[in-house]
Amino acid sequence: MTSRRFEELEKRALKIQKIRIVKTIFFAGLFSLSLSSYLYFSKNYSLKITEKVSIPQPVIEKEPIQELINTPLKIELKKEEYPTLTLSPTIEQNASSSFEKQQYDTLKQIAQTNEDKEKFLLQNFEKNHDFETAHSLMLLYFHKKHYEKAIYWSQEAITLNPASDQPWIFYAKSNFYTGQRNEAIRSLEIYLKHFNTQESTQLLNFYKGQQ
Amino acid sequence: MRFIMLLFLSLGYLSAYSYNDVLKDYRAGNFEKVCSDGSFFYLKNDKNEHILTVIGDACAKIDAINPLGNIVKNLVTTKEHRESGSYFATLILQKKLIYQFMQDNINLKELKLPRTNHVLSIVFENLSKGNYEIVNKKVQINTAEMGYLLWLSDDEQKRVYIDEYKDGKLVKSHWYL
Repeated sequence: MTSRRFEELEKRALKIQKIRIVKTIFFAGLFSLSLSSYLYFSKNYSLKITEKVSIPQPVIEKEPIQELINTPLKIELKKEEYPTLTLSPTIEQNASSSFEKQQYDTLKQIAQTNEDKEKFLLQNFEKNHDFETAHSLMLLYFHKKHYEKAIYWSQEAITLNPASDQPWIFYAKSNFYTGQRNEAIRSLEIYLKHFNTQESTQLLNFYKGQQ
Repeated sequence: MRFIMLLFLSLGYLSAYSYNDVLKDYRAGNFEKVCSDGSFFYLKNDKNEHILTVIGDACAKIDAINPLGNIVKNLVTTKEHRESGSYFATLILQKKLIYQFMQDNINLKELKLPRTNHVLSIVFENLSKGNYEIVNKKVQINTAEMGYLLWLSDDEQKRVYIDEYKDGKLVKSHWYL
């Protein structure tokens, strides 16, 4: 290879090198141009948005601090008002139950507060010593509220006719009215062990309910 | 027959004062008799709540507050009897607090208890509201209707007296221990 040939090759290599450099510069320039144009246009777009939407800024009224210190803190407490409880004892004027009242009214029709009748019955019992007379005397004294005598004559009537429930019932009632509730209940329980009547059962339940 | 004999032999002591007598005397206004003779019922732990309420009210009316403690415990079954029980319990507490106030000068202000028509409740309410004046070691309360004067006796066991005045005249005097 001659020197001439080397010179041509060298010129050619330089030329290629120059072309490469130009190409590199060109593409770099193109890239930077595109980047800058992108940045430029995107900035302009965001600016346009902010111009359209305006967020209102809160307005704070600043009070003088001295005024805040001086004004007393007013707290109004609402007093919860509840009505005051009022109490009074409940006293029923009519204490007698319907059950007892019914019995008392029936008794009033049967027995008469007649002194002659009392004498007659006592004389009759002395003669005959029968259940009916004792029963009548029991009712008579019960109606008069002579409960001790009513107890006595109910015992007499029970002795003469233990199966009859009325003397047991009036014996229990007389005891109840003289404050002997336990005795009244016990007598009815004894009677109900051997006999069973609705009236005596009702009375027993009533007396037990008073406990 | 044997059962009947046993029954008759087992007769107990018959009380002379009956339920009917209690009611009869209460209606007649014999409160002292009801309270004194009625003690038989609550001392034997009678459970007849109506009779107990009647006896309790009679005792409250004659200023016998101490027996109410025995009566209160059995007033439990119905709403009305429970209210009566609370009423009697309120009187007991108010009497004790007024006594303590007069003796020891405790603070009754802002203490709220149930309201009743009894003189103890009226006095207590005024004391708790501070509606009173102390004049010569006596406590004076003036309301729209009545005037009340509270004072301590000079006895060894001091009594609290509550004098009720109307238009300046002594109407009634109560005392409590």
